This record gives sequence, structure tokens and C-alpha cells, in this order.
Amino acid sequence: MASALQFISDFLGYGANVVLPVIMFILCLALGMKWTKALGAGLLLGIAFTGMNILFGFAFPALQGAGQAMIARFPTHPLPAFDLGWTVASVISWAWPYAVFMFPLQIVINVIMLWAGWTQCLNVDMWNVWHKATLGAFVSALLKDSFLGEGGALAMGFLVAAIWVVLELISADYTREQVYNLTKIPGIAVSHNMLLDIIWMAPILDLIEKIPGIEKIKTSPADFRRRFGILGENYILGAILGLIFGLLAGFNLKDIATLVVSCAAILTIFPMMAGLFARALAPVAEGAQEFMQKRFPGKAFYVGLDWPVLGGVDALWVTGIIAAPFILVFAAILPYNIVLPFGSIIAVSLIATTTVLAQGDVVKSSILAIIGIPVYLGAASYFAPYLTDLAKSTGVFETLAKDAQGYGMVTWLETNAAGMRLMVFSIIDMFNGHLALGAVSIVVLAFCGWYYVRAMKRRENAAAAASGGIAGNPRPYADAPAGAAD
Amino acid sequence: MPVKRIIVACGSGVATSNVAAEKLRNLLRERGIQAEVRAVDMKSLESEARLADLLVSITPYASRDNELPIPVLSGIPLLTGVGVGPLIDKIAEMTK
Repeated sequence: MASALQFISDFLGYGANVVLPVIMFILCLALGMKWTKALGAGLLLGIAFTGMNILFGFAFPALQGAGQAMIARFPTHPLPAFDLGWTVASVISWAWPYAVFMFPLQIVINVIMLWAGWTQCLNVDMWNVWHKATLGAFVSALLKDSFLGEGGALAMGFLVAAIWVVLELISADYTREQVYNLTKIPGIAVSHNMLLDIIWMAPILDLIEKIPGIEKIKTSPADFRRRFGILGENYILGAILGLIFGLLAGFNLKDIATLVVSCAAILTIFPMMAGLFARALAPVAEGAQEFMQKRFPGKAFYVGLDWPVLGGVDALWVTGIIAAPFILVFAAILPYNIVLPFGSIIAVSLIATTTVLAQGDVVKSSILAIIGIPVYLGAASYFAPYLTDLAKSTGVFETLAKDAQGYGMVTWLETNAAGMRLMVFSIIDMFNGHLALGAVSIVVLAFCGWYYVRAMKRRENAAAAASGGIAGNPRPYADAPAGAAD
Repeated sequence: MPVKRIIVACGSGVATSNVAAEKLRNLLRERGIQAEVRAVDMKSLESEARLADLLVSITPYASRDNELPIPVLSGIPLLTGVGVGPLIDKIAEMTK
């Protein structure tokens, strides 16, 4: 018995690229999958991790060379944390040993809330359970030295993840008319946690709408997107950023050209690796989906989906292209920022949120996004050490582990619901004795939460009035004013 | 021309499209339909469409853009589970 336990504990130390496939294999068998398919899913996970590691080995030295040269030229404002995009963050999050437990957590909470009538959203987006894994992992890392102890810290991690699941469902309920007005797809909602940041954006948008003449500016985002559409392609973005970094680093022509191609390659190949991950997780996602749909046949609900249902809204991509240069400028001037923007230069989690709230109005959406960039840079800076430590703990990313001077962190600028996360983490940090910031956050959150419900009822009504309403009801919240902005 | 190569597009070509593509693969296999299914990034659709016969899109984007040389079906049923049967029937018809 003792030797069996010893074997398991040894095995868990072998690294995520070996351990995860085995966990995945067992999970798939438990879900009743054929063993050949289960084996395939497990192996794909291992392959995705291995591929990520190879890429890290390529990407990190390439970016570090440019990063260190930039720091040598601009020593007062070092940017040691590389934004490698959400694809990388999602893969790293699965290395948290408790990540798979986020599936049952999300499903159980959703079932209870549907059963009790607290939500109408059936969240079938099983891909984005990884966000809950990052919360669990980061909260337990933040509190591991507090009086709660490691067990208490882990429990808090699960508690915050559970709260997140609840908030996502409420947010999906309160945005579904706005989403419907943009997409015209009936029966769906967006249950992605990015939309939680509407809680602090809603009062700001109300202020923006008070600017005289702002409603009169006419734009045609479709033309803009068609003309600049190619800018949105990953490899073009990578090449442009490589060029900017190379020039800032003072490289010679050969080094600039090399960096341009390297950066284009990094931004093209990372998503491919993450795609392997998605394929490996697809059977689990499907199994969970079927499980939930079988339990709620015929009951009226909206199906909660990931953000790509919004991908057809031209204003989203136009906002992204407008916001991108501001991300670079803010990164260069904000004193607290340590992030070198790269993989999330089109910051979907920010621009999709502003697009939903601004209902496809490019001007309002862009102003909101620009206001949001400092928040997102703040979150990406704050969470960089946490994601880096988690990546190192996988035992896979040798490049990170070998980085002796500590220069070079990994982060993602698209920290979803960045403002919410920062507020929640400052509140949790009160357990470590840091009270002041947390107290401010509690006050701000309380105000925003109160405002949110009122603002959403008003905006849901306005969206329903514009579209005719999902269920043919142009005024779903009879207790709120029907007008657009008051 | 019978459909042999199907692409499934989402906003990043990573998550949603792969999940939907995997589901489509299984559904087609169950019906004994021979077709290659690939997940792609909607931002690269113009180049991807040249290597495919049918687009199943998670976003309403492509159905509005008439520039694509291939037919487009909505992939939303693959995510919500509502209307999967008719979608597969339609694809089955197109593969003949």
C-alpha cells in the first residue's frame, strides 16, 4: 500500500505532459467512452503540452532577445512579462492539479440554479471552465501563506470559482437581449465570464452617452472591416509587432527581419497547439453537454455559449483594430505596467464586452475599450507571477524553469473580466492582512452591483425594443424604463 | 459538386470550432458519411474557403458575406443541440 502511494506521488511529479493524459484517459473512461477514444483524447493532451513546450523553447529566447535589448535602451520602464495570449494561458491552467474538478463544479451549480429558478441559462460552454481553474489556482496561491493554511486556501479557491460560475449565469441572463439584438440567434446567451466586466463599464457608458453629439456620429464598420480585415489575421499582427519590437530594440536589418518572421510564426503556431487541446477536451465537453441537456428537456431556458457567436459583429473587430495601438501606447507609459503586449493585441475579451454593452456602436465601444485598457494591463501585470509559477509547476516548460534571473514571465492580456478579477483579488488579499484596497473594492463593487441590475434591465429593454425581443416581448423587464439612455 | 471537405469556423479557430468540428465528425461518422472536417479561424476564411466545399459557421458573419465561393450553414445547432438532425440531413444531402 505504502509503495503504491509512493508510486502515485512519484508519478504526479513526472510533469503535466505525462500526468494529464493519464488523468484524461481515466476521466473519459468514467464518462463511458470507448477506451480507444479515451486513449486518443489523453494522448492529444500530452501532445498539446509537448508542442507548447517546444514552442516556448523557440518563442521565449526570441522575445527575450528583443525584450532585453528594449530594456537596455529604455531602462526606466522594463516590460518583462510577455503576453502570449489566452491560448497559452488556457493550456497552462490545466496544469493546476484540481482543474478537472471545475467541470462538476460548474455543472452542479448550474443544475441547482436552473432547478431553483435562479437562472434561465443552461451553460453548455465547457471549454471555458479553464477560467475557473485559473481563479482556483491563483486564489490558493495568493492565500497559501495566510492564516487559512493550504487547505483553507484551496477551499477559498473553489469558493471563488463557484461564485464565478453563479455570476456568469446571472450575467448571461442580464445580457441575452443585448446579445440577441446583435446576433439575431434565438435561444442563446453568452455565458462567458468576460461579460462580468460590464458591472463597472455600465456606469461609465452611461456617462459617455451624456457627451453631446455622441449618438449622432455615424460609422460603417462593415466597410472598415472589409478594408482592414487582413490586419486581424494572426500572422500579420505578429509580423507588425515583430517589426515594432525590432525597431524599438535598435536591431539591425537582419535581426529585425528574423524577429518579424519569428513573431508571425509564434502567433500562428500557438493557437494551433491550443486547438489540439480543444480537440482533446471536446469529448468531455460533449459528454457534459449531453448530460445537462438530458436533465432539462423542454424546460424553457437559454443555452449559454462562448463568445464566438458574436464574431459576426463587425463593430467587434473594428473596435479591436482601433484599440490595438492604444494597448501599445498605454503599455509604454503606464508606470505599473510590466506587460509587453503581443499575443492579445486584438484583446477579444475586452472588445467583445464593450461591443455587447455599446450594442455595436463603434464609437462608444472604442471609447469604452480604451478606458478599459489600463485595467486590463493592470490585471495582466498582477497575474503574471501567478501564471508563471503555475507554468513552472507543470514540470514541462524547461525554458521558464531555467530562467535564472527571473527575467521573462508569461501572462495574458485578455485576462477576462480584468476589473472584476482585480477587485475580487484585492478583497481576498484582506485575508493576508492587506485591508485598505479590499475595503475600497467592496464599496465600489457594492455600488456597481446595485447599478448593474438597474442599468441592465434598462438596456435589455432597449435591446428588446430594437429587435422585437427574443420571445417576441419587446419589454422583458416591465419594472424598468423602456427608453434607451434614461 | 458533392461536398467532401467541410470547415467549421469560429472567432479564433481554437476552442468553439474544434468542439463543434469534433461533434460534426462523430455525427457524420454515425451516418456513414465520408467527409473531412476541419476547424478554422473565421479571420482566415477567405483563404480557407478555397480549400473547402462547405462552411459550417458558428458566427453569422459568413452567411452575410456573399464573397465566399462555398455554401454556408449555421453551426449553432452543434452547440445548442437544437436542430442537429435537420443540419446533418442537409449536409448528408450535399455530400451526395
